[in-house]
Amino acid sequence: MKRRELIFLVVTAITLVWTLNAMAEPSIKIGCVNPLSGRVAFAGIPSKNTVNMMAEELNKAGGINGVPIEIIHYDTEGKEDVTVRIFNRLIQKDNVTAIIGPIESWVATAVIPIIEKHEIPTILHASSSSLVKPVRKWVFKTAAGDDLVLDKMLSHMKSTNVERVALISSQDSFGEGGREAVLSLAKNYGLNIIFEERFAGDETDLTPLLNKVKKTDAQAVIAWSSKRTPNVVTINYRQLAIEKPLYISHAALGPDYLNGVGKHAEGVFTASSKFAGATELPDSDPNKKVILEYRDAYKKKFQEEANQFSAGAFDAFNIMAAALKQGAGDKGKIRDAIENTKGYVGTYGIFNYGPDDHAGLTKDAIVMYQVVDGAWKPIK
Amino acid sequence: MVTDLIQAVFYALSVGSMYALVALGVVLIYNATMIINFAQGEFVMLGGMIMVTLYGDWQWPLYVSIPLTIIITVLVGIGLMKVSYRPGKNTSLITFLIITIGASLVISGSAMHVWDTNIHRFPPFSGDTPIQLLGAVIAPQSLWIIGLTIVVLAFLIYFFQYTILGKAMKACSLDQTAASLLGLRVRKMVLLSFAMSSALGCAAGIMLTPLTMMDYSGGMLLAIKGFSAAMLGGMGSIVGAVIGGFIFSFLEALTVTFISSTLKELVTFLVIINVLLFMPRGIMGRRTVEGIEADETLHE
Repeated sequence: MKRRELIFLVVTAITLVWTLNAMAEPSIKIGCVNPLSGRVAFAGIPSKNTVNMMAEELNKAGGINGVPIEIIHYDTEGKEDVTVRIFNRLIQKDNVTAIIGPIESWVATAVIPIIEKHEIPTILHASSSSLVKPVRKWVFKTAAGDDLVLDKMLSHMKSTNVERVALISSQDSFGEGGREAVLSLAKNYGLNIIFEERFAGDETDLTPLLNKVKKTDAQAVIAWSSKRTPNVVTINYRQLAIEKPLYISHAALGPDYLNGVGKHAEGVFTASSKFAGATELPDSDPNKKVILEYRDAYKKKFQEEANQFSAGAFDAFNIMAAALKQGAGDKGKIRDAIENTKGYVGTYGIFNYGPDDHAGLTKDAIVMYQVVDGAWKPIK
Repeated sequence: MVTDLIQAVFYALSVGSMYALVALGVVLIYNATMIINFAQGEFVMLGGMIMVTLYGDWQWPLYVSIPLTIIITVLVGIGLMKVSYRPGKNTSLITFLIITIGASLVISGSAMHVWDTNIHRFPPFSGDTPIQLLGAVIAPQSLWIIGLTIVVLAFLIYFFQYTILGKAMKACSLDQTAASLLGLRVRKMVLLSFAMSSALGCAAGIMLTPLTMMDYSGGMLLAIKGFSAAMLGGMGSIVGAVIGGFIFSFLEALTVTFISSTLKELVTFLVIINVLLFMPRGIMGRRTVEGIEADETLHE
């Protein structure tokens, strides 16, 4: 009697599991990789929120051709080794169809070989343009590349009759990328780089270097670095009372800069995407509406502000969703669909990808900013 | 050329003072316990970050926020002593070392959660307008840092040379067993050295944050530089720690000014490695006798 009961139980259990499994809806799995802890978490957490918010909306509206998507999140911790493990896991264990992220250029560099080897369509929302130069078959990016930002800065210098420029940059991938871009773009605008030097990215006092800059006859200074050094450069720059206009990297649009530097920031230039100054753009600007709608939707849902980093995730998600609809689950077709994206109006600009352009944006996506009365204001 | 040199000296004086203050803290604890405290930089970080909250964010007056900041940091320092120092227990020096490195990670990790990952600063005590001197410029806050270093150095020399307490502390470092046989309370002396060292680190953090800014991870880098300065000056020597700090920063300034900032760390550490190769006890280090030589002195 007991034995029979047992057999009955086992059979029921197996049948139940079987039917439940069959009933579970199929879904399209998308990996979403962001820094959720550590120094760059301020960029990663809103990106994760954004992707969640949009996936929810997409699934409510019927998903990808009737199939819901499932987002699998991981935390890069801002570290290369962690992210390499995450990518291997996403591809081999989680079996994702495509990946969105990461946001940190130095981390993205480390995972590109894995993406290429396993042939997973991936849209990064990292800034460094060297990530898609030369073009990698499976890697695309949103966010404004540093070459576009610098191109805009140099053209702004040209328009203010600057001829001689001093360049200081940090000794890391961010600094090197910018440095190479400046050196190759400068001649397009007839600018001479008369002084050029690199410094360590964790420097806390740059007066000796800036003192050398002060004595050159450069008419403008570019300081290209990220993390804490934009603050150090700006404060030391004012302490040395250097009169030349200062152009700092777009990393200064992050939350640290204006709070940390205070009134020293007054008059500093940078160039970046339209996101930060969207409210002051003319209504004719095609991206203004997209940015403001996104910002409102995000604020309504999470009671905090989105930022330019999560805006990159917004664009990546939309481009990916459109490609998934065309690709019908085939990774190769999804990749081709991303590459054929034309005229997508996003928060960063109008994206036109192509076989030899996986960044999709032009200089028109970039706006010059200047600190006026303690806030970044877009200028002409 | 001359103004370049003056500017380099100004930089060396202000940055060297920061290194010296950290080095002095390392030396203080080393003298009483032979422990090399790698968490010394965290006291500096705590000093800076607590001030950011009390003085920068909450706008409490200086005479309230500075003592309060120092008290909190000293409590952390005493806590560190309680976990790392156990007299009588047969713990090797390498274990102490690992404990302090661990403590350093715990403190900076906790700071990341108490505050955030952003870089902070509070306004300098005497304004932001740089002072022009002999064609070079120096920030007013640098003078505060240099001043603090001079005061601390003078106090410590006086303390160890002329006060009973200082001499007792020195005695404990020379031979703990003998010191306790003579009736000195070794544990109290060790406690005092940790308290003094954390107060010192905290004061350094309060002074330098307006100049260099601070975040949760700012302590480790300072600890490495301060430790190198203490080694260069001769581990255990008060004056040596300050001299080491200034040599270190002067080398950095010269490299940046006359060669390139790309080579800063390379040149600086090359010089330090060479100094330590030929003078293993540093510039002001005591010559001690060990091994066979020590045996011979016993027989004399």
